[in-house]
Amino acid sequence: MNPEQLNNLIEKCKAGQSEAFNELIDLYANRCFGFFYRLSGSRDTAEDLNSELFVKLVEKIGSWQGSSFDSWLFTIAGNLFKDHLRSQYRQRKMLAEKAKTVQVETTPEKENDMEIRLQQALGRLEPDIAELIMLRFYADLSFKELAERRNEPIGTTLCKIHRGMKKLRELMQVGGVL
Amino acid sequence: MKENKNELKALIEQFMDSQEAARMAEEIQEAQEMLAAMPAPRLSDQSLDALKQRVSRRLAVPVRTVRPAATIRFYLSAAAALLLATTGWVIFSNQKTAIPVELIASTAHIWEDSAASDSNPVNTLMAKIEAVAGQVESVQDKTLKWFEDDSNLSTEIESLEVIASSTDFWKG
Repeated sequence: MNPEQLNNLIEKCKAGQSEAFNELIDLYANRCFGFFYRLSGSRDTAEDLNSELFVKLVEKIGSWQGSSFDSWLFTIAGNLFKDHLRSQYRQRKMLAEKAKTVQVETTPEKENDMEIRLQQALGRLEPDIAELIMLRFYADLSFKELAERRNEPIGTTLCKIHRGMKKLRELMQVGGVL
Repeated sequence: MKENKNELKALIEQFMDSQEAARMAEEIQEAQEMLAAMPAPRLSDQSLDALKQRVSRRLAVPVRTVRPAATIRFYLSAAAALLLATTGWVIFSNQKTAIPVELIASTAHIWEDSAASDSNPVNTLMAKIEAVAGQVESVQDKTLKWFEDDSNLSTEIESLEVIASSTDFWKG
């Protein structure tokens, strides 16, 4: 879909057309789900956050000003994930038992499963860097866009992503995947 | 939109020498390819339909006008500032008025009579103030005792954390 078609679709969404929202969901739901899944490592959490994102989109789409829609949408997604991390941190602090359950959920069933190794490797990155890498990958953002979004110099963003991706590859190599 | 390999190398060359930039671009590219080779699972058709239904239901409800917390805080601060300014103006404008000499003369007897009689209004007032101070002290003692009891504090903190984790109020 070219930018003009996307703009038209968003205008229809702003008008509250259900069909337009369905089309937007078809376009973006899997990408956003992938973003949440890679960061959370849990399918259920990713589905919940994805659902919350699109409901929020209904409320916020009127405030979209015509900038990059992908960047705007993934900014909301990133904020939702940060909220999720905060609430998870509180819950873990309060209920140590719950933390054990969460750990059990992410324990790999098969040691050599590439997918699980990737999730484990992502889980070992700093959350901030993992989010940057996922934004680069799923939101398809350039380094310039990422730096603007984070309000930091482009060199800093570049270094963070390079460091994170290098570590990711090393972790995957240690795991015998690559 | 993401940069291609050459654009990436050109970007990195702004910060380091050509050889180092080429190596860094290569490493980023390889990691991106690795991620692309392992796509995340996709939503099932059932989940996608459920999502569409949820969004349709949300669309059926008019979007409520949410006043952001910052706006509410702004209005509250403005109201408080206005109240303070009005109170200040009233107090200071009254102070400018000279106190009539007759009034000073008529109140002078309070101080003159205070030593002579226990029924003096100043003594009565002092007694009332002492009584109120006694009540305040007793409330303070009770509060301190409550805080000294660890079980009270931990129960309170736990209940606050339960509220924080089970509701969305802190999102603003």
